[in-house]
Amino acid sequence: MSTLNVSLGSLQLSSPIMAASGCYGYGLEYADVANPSHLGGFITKSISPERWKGNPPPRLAETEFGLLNSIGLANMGVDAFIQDVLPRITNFDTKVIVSVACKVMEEYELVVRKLEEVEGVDGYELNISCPNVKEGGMAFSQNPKLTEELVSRVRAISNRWITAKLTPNTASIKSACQAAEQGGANALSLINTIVGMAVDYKSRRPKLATLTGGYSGPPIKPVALARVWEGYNAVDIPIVGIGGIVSWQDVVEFFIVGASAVQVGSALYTNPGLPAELNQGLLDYMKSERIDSLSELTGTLKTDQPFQVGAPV
Amino acid sequence: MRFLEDATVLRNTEIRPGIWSMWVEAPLITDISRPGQFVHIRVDNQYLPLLRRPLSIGRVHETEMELVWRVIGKGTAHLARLKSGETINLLGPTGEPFKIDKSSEMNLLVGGGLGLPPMVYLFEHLKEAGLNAKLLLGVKNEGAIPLADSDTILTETEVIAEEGGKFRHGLVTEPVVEYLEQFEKAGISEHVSIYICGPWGMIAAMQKVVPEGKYKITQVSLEQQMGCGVGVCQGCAVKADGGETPYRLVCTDGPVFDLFEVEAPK
Ligand SMILES: Cc1cc2nc3c(=O)[nH]c(=O)nc-3n(C[C@H](O)[C@H](O)[C@H](O)COP(=O)(O)OP(=O)(O)OC[C@H]3O[C@@H](n4cnc5c(N)ncnc54)[C@H](O)[C@@H]3O)c2cc1C
Ligand SMILES: Cc1cc2nc3c(=O)[nH]c(=O)nc-3n(C[C@H](O)[C@H](O)[C@H](O)COP(=O)(O)O)c2cc1C
Ligand code: FES
Repeated sequence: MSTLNVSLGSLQLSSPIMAASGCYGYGLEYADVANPSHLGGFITKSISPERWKGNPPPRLAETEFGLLNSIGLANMGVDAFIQDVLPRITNFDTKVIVSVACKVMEEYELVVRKLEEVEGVDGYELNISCPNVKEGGMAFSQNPKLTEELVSRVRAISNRWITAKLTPNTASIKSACQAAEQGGANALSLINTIVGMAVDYKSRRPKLATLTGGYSGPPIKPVALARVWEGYNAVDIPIVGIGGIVSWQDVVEFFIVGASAVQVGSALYTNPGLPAELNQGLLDYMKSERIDSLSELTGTLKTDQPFQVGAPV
Repeated sequence: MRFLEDATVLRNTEIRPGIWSMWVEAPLITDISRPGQFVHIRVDNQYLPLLRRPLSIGRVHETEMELVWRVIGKGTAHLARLKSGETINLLGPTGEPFKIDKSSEMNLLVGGGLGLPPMVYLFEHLKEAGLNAKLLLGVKNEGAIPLADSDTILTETEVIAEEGGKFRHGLVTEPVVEYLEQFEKAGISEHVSIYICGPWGMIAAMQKVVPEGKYKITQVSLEQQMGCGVGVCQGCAVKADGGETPYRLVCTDGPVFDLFEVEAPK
């Protein structure tokens, strides 16, 4: 019997499809048009110690095939989240992973301590990879020492499941992956957005107020696949693949290069019903390929020779 | 309450070069939509273009809804290729509608170019409720009027064209000033409501000619690049007072704001 269940260490998911941070709000916004139970879990918008106003507009620029954003982590802050949101999402039939983004390590500890006091949180995603904030953000993930220290400090105050979300904006992601594992992360989330820029040639103006932003959507899938493969070969903890997923075939590709689950991001804006479609597509594929569990696929990339068009499979 | 609804295209017509009117059958959305709201449209079954496109809800007649747009780029060009019988996926109704006060003695509706469609919806809605309303449209020239020549609404619309032609020559703020003077003379200013939808230039001009605090309602509908359309991505922020931060979201706090809350980009 094929099942969509997957496990990410201590975290069990009913589907390998999760919603990526910043692309599913706080869980409530899409609930009237798409049933959250199709998701194995969702990652909240990154939450900080207090309300953050975010960057000046414009904050979005659609490019030829993808999307650039410079939201700047606009969010309601941990207290409002605990008071106003959490009680309304705990009855959802899906795992709730709270993304935490702060400027300094003490703030990560503060936010997690507050969340440790309440029920209904299944784990944390430490966002140490946002390219759109001046302080903290991806600077943590670009420095393995800081990555390890941050993860271990949060580990010291929580027994919950923890994943570290890393930036692709480095020469190599290997040392950051190993640092997060050393620090005690249960999993890694790869990747956050890629630094990019969009320009209006007529006015010669940048399309984002912050000049640069984070690139997401279908065009970043090759970058994400490469980073997941690099991470898979560097650590023993499970990897959650993120970047450009729009189809069940994309999901299978992420598993092949080493993912044990995935997150869908920008595509949810276009198609909030995507998780249900992906689940169905994966189940049909698993049945036809006689795969019982998607974990059988993780890291099965055949590197002996490349795929050759026209050659027998 | 919002729906993801597959709407059936009934008619899709180019009413002027580059300007399209499409009527769709959308029973779920039209059942609860209000003037000022919009729909977020998946223009293609693939992810090309990646994002949905926001369009104001134009006229609503029972279960049918009109969308009117100018072809700008990929998304709107794609919409123009849709044929009757095809379906498009709408997310909506989205956004906060215009506030309506039944005790308003006069409602002044001011549209600029493609800002007209939500004004037409509001105009019909107010008329149906037995309220007085005037519909003003500012355009560059006749070719920019987002109504077909045969459209009966056109006979009820005061068109002001920058390039004149067979219409009053000038800017739409000119008749607005005249009306405001008339309302003042008649002593009804505080019973007048003003609604605006158009480009930033027009909004900024209206902020100059409309005195703050004098009228019952002064509302404006804004545009901004959108991602999700439902308050998830935080992408459609504009500078505006009245929220917890200096920014507010066009998709959920708006698209309708108070005229004096918003700040035109420099
Ligand atoms: C609430 C709201 C209601 C609208 N109602 C109407 C309407 O009734 N009629 C009409 O003609 N237009 C309307 N617009 C503008 C319309 O959304 C854009 O013209 C359209 O998105 C252009 O898409 P495109 O792919 O053709 O152009 P492109 O320039 O190729 O689009 C590139 C990106 O920029 C965005 N974009 C471009 N122009 C605008 C704009 N003016 N506002 C917001 N996003 C933009 C697109 O959505 C897309 O993501 C409305 C916008 C908003 C926010
Ligand atoms: C508008 C927007 C906001 C985002 N906000 C966050 C965020 O708050 N925290 C975070 O870790 N990632 C954030 N992301 C990144 C996504 O979670 C994801 O890593 C990225 O978009 C790549 O996936 P995709 O190609 O499927 O969109 C955001 C992405 C977008 C497009
Ligand atoms: S478009 Fe996403 S928050 Fe408004």
